[in-house]
Amino acid sequence: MSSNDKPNIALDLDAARAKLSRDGGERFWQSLGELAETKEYRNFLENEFPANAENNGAGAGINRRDILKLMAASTALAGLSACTKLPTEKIVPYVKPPEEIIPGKPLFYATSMPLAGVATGLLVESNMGRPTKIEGNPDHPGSLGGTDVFTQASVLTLYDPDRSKTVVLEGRISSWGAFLSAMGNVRGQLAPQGTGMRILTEAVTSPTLASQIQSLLKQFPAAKWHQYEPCGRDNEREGTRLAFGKPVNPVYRFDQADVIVSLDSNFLMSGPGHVRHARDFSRRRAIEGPDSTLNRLYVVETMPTSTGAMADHRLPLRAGEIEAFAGQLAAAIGGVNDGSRSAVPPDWTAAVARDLNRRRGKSLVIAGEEQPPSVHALAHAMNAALGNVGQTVYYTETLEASPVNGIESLRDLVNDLQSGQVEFLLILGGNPVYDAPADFDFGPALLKAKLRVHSGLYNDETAELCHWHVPAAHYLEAWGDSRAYDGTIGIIQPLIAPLYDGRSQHEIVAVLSGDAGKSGHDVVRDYWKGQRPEKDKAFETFWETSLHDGVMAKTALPPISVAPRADLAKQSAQPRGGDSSTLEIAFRSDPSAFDGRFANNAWLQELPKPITKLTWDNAAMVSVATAKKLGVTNGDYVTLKLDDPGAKKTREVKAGTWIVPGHADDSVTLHLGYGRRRAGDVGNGTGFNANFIRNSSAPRAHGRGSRARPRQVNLRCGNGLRHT
Amino acid sequence: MSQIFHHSTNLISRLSIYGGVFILGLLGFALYEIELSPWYTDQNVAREQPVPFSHKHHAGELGIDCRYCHTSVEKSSFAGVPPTQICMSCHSQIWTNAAMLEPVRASYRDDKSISWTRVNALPDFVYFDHSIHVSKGVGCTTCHGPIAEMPITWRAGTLYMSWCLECHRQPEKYVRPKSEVFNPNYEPPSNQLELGRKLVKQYKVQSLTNCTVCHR
Amino acid sequence: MDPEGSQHTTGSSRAQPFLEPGQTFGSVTDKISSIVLGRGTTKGWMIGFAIGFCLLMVFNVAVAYLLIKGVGIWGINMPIAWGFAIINFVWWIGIGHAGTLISAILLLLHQKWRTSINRFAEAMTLFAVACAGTFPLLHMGRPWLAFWLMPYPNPMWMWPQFRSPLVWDVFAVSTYLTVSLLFWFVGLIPDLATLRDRAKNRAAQVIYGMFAMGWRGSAVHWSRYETASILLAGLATPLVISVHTVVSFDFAVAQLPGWHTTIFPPYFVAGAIYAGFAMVMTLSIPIRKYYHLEEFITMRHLDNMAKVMLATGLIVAYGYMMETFMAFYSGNQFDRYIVLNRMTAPPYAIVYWSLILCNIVIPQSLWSSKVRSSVPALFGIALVVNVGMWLERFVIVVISLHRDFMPSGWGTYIPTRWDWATFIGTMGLFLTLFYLFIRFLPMISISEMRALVKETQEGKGD
Repeated sequence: MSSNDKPNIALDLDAARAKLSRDGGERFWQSLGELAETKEYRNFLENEFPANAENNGAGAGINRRDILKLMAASTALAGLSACTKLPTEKIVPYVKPPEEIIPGKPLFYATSMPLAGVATGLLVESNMGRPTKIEGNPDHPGSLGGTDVFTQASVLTLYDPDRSKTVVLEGRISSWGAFLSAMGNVRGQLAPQGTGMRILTEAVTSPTLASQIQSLLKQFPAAKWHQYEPCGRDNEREGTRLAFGKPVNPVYRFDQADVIVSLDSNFLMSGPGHVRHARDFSRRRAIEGPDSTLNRLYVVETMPTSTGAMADHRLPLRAGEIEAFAGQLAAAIGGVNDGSRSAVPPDWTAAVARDLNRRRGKSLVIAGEEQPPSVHALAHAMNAALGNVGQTVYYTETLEASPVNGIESLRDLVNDLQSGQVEFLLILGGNPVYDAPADFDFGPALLKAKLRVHSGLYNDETAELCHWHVPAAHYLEAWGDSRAYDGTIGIIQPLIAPLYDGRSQHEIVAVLSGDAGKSGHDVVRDYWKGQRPEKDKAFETFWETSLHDGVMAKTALPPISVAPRADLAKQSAQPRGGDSSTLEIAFRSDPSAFDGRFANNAWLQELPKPITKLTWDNAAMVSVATAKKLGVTNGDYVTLKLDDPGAKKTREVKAGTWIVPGHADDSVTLHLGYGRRRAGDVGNGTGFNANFIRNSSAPRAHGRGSRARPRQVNLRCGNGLRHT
Repeated sequence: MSQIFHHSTNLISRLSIYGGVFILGLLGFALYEIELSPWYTDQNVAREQPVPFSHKHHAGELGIDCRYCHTSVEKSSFAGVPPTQICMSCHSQIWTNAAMLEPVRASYRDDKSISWTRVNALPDFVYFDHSIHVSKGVGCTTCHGPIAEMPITWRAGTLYMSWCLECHRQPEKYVRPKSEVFNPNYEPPSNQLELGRKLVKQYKVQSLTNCTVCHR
Repeated sequence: MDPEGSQHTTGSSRAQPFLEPGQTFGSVTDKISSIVLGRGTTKGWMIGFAIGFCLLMVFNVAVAYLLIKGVGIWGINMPIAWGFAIINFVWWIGIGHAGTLISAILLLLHQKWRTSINRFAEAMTLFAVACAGTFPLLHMGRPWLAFWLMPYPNPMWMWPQFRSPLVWDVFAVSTYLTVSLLFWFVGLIPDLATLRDRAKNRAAQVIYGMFAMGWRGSAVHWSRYETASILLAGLATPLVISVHTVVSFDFAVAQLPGWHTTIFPPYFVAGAIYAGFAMVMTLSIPIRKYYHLEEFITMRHLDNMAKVMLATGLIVAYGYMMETFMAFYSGNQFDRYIVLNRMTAPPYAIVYWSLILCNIVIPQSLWSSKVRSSVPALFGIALVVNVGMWLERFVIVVISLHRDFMPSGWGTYIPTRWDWATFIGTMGLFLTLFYLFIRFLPMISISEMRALVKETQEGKGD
């Protein structure tokens, strides 16, 4: 919220409470403002749909369009409108028409969109060679015909005029040819070992890209490859490593589950495979015949989400206290009452455990991506104990060819940067200057690399600090491949030639490998030619079929059998949330902006977020009680200060508060993805950047805060909080 | 007192009053005729094109089917004007050096489309779908006129709403057997009304005159 | 029967003459034509005309802005999609009906007291219809396509929607305008000839001469004149009833509660005459004062007009009562609600009760002959009735629209400054035209007044 917005909408919560108690029973309301029915709210409503739009200045003044309209009107009034003929049009056909296009009819092509390493299969409608509408691919396991907001909005990003359009060298327009010769120099200088060469990518699940980077690393053995995904699966991966000794990929079968317990997991709206999960879940909510049984969902979460809204039983719980609850639940499932304290009423835990036990093999416990690895490990242990493995959940090898902990990987890179070891750094996608944890100080560290190359869709905060910026090709413009949540390979095929001289990641890595000029198509095809047993004609058939279907048949990763460590189920964790005198901060990926990469997408900015219906902004979400305790109401600004003794400068951020009824008490949820500086005309200046106070020691989980002064919350982070 | 007006005023006043009524009527009539005239509608006005393409030669003398060039007419709302490649499918073999065809060869060589002048155009607020008309027995020449006799192409109908309504209100006057739709030399038989009624029933032709059918 | 020639300042109207005795042909002609020819342009007229002209400029600005921006500048929206435009349209048309009644119907009924008021009343009709006619044009989304309402052969083969009362309005109002114009003009011809003959400068002679169309005052001319007047009166008479009946159909043929009632045609017609006579009264009282025409427009005229107002006011009151009664008698919950809503619910209940006050309560004072002989009182009541009749159209249009069948669709109408500007602007148009009329044309029918002279000389008071 910008400071010069409209004044705070005063809430009379007592009046709202009185109204609720008076009406008794259930009463439906859309927001606290509506419930309290203040004058400001009514004004706000009227301003939204003004009865007199002209007064609001929307029509103020006379512009060119109006003058022309007036001229047309006066000409018509003079009776001359009948005298103007239809203007002469030209009709301009193709020279060599593309195959299969029937003018006036759309064509559909199958492709996939990867997001944080997990792909959703799509059918994209193309009108006269331009992709216009995204639909889900019914044959793709990650989609089954469905899509989510990010895939739907991605077509707008393709046409975003703020995308970077040219190769840029140190702020001036350059060319691909110049880039090629510069990279040729780099290869020459860093040969043969490649000492000082670093590559930073997002989470890579594309087999082709992984193979390319691996062979690059073989060419330059001293080079290092780092992967960092701000809203990725680090916690989940570490959780499986904790539970099973090695990182694996859990695949959930929600259609098989009768009882589901979500430990702060927004599995219907976010996370790998959520499109598929939503489909599967809703299938169990459909009464199709006399034998249909509904599933039951228990949700324990901090911030109200759509998954929580679907729950049969929901408990708001601070993010830090969920681990204790998970421990108790695990114990209750095993029949042991461990007697530890928890914020959850014991009969609640007991009831959930009873329900789970009654449905052994048909239940599911799932932990949220923001929960620490220990909670994930507990969830896996509970599933194993309940006999769910192989029924409602199974495990495969990780989707990533080279799974790493993103934070640690980035930390290594930052350390190398600080010690001056980095001669050449290639950043393929991602925006680490914006979304790296604050204590890394990634911006200044980045400047220590001798030669920096960035490739991305936008000339963003990271590109600003790099020497070279190469515009990336959008997934709708490029060849590639990807994995669905269960490992199924989907080829990414372009629907339109790159609008702005963009290059795919495959093409850029090919340049570094010495294959400059090799097209993305050839890279991907050659990789699969090398991987598949089919040869020649059979391979052609296979390739065409995979392209047509949008999936490579039978490429889902096979289940592997893993067993949880023996001591895990009996571990009972110390309650970590602290007492209620401290405030915890929970960082979440934003339902519209995700990690910030979609900040310039106007559709997503305009999209009201679930439950809060906020648009164009993020806020510090608090519960009604917490707001009262902090003395804030909707629209008040709070300063969140990170008390990190190791930091060179105090890190603080100013956030607007938003009261969310149903939020856990003494907890503040901050959404990432806003406060961008160089997102584009749409995204600049919206919201605040929560990354400023996000620490690498507890990046997705919590900080601790106490109320120092009115409207200022000091956070103490990184002390005594568990992390991997 | 002396007369204010000359006595010719008697005549002038009568003439101007009766004449005024007559002149107004004439004006209205003139406006109406202008609106229907080829000057305004471009009906029967041969349009100048970058290449003087002769339907008479290609569709008439050579007997090339309409769909060879206008490929999407049975599948799409838009019949299309052929891409250069279709012209070159023959003219890479015949008349390869004709001066008249140089723009075509140049277009193919330089990959630059030919800018044809549009002959049949409807305003943007009208939705017209070729495929449904063709599949219900409306022949090409019914609307586009004796195309196989046109050395240069012109618009055969006014394309006014009234022109469309004439068939939409009474399709039996114009519908022809489906096998004859692409026959440029089809003459409606003497028993067109009787045949038309039969075909309307057989092809389930509806007389769609609701506004939203075309003005969507 | 009252004694001939006796005058009472109070009491029965029979005793009051409709032309004060002592006039001759010459004095009548002199009096009336001197207003046009003799006085030049007086300061009072200039001031009045200036005011009217300024308001006309307001109208121009309002219309120009409307054409540029569209009808969104007005306060209309769903559900009240008809606002001031229709209210003003009906109000102005209604006002016009009195003029035609006076000219045509009273002519056919041989009511001599119409004579001194019929000319400017008919002019008032014409100008009122002109003002009214701007509203159906302006309230269209694309006024420049208004000619589509006319059935003319077109290449779209589209006729106007003949089932719509709005199209009937087009025919009714255009017919009304045409017939009124003809009637007024034909009546003017002898007077224009008089002015032509008395004009001092050449320009006036030529202009009046052209419009007098060569009138010589011969017996043939007079005979044709009388025939034409009767015929046109016969044409115009049914229009008095039919035009406002058709206007009432704009509402009555809709399903909306509060509109869908058969009382509307007679109720509207009566209301029109009511409003029209109030406007004639409003105009005639200042005119007779400032142009010293008390001898021509006598207390008898004012008295008769007041009686007509009272009578039509009672019919209008009957209409209100019937609406209310039928609403409850019908048992229809929507009709019942709309009547209750009018009377009780904010924000418009105040409008309804003001309406009752202005249209029913206050004019009851006209029962008293004392009130009827007080010129200031009559002027005040006439103004009140003008306002009241405007409020009646407001009640009908806005209140019925603002709460109809679906509560989710209820809304409020708040007129914007452009609504008011356009309305006041049409008053400017009316005033401008009327001032021009007073200045350049005889506001009382000279030839008909001269016919009265003979009768008053013979002492007949009726």
